[in-house]
Amino acid sequence: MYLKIIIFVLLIGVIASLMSGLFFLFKDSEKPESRRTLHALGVRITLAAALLCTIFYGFYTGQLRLGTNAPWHGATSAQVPTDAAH
Amino acid sequence: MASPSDQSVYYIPHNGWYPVWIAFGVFMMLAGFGTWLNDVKAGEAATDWMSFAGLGILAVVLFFWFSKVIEENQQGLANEQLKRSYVWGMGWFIFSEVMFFFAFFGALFYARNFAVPWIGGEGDKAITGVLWPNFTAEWPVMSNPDNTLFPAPHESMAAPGITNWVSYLPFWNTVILLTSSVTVHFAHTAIKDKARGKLIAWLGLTILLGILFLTLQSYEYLHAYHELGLTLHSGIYGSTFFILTGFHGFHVTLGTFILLIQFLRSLKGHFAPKDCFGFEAASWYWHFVDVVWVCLFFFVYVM
Repeated sequence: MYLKIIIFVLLIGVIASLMSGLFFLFKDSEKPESRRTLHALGVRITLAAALLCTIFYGFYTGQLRLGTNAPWHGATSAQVPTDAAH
Repeated sequence: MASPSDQSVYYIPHNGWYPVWIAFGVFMMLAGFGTWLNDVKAGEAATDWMSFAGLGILAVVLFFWFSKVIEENQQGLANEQLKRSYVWGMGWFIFSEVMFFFAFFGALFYARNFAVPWIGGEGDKAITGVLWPNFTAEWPVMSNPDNTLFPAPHESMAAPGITNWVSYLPFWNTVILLTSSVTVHFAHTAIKDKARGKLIAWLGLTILLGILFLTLQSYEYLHAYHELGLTLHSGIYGSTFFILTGFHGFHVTLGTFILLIQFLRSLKGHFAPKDCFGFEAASWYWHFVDVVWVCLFFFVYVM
């Protein structure tokens, strides 16, 4: 449960930091020495990387079971689409 | 006409034929595409030369028009009012892009959470369980209501579970696109630090990663069509999958071209820490395309 909350917060954080980068891009277009866009996008990348790692960790530890209708849930190893997008 | 040096009055450029040629190219492209669709539907031999000719005209005119705008900016002809109009132009372009992807993510959400369960018998809607009583709702939809009309895929593109993640191409594409965001961020930092050599190197690497992403996605599509039976015609899952990832791929292509223009401008030494809106807008657009992919990876492949 906590992992899903973390994923949700990170996803919102990624979108929020991207949008703040856009805001600063427009707001600071007349203050060219500003680095606020650069910093906001740096935060964006960090959060996106953390999100990807969290998803990976969730599946690795078995804590994450998103999409209960997805074919790999509850499936035996023979049913898992092993050659998907090799 | 206002003087170019007058900072308070809107700078009106000379008369030109660029907008007329743009309109002509777009008209030719869309008319050709429509004709091609009609011919395909009618089962006639179809060629799409008109559409490609229109696209060619559009590309050539855009190249010359943007070249002119950049040239004028380098000559100091663009006043503050004109530069502000470019910023707003970019703003509306981004707004249209955000709305565009909202619509497709919305379609996926609606199909997955409402339409498919209703057809499968959930709830008390008029269509519930009436039209196709044997249809079982699941996502990805591996058996369509009418499998003769829309042949269902053999397999989906859904994440295969942790044990097969290493060979799961969409995961690596996510890593590649995220890495390209890091490299474009380094290029952005290099501009601010006046390090032109680093700017060129990091930007060049970003473009290569973008091309690598597109190459792997093309391979993924071939795999889906030829080995998984997953196509645009294989029901709502195939349609939403290809429309979402395909339009994203189109935007990565567009973003790669935009970054290529920034790369060529970097080689010419156009950017300075205080005059690099073109690069910053291109960089933000690349970050946007990456965030859309992260959402796609989460909602289309993993969730």
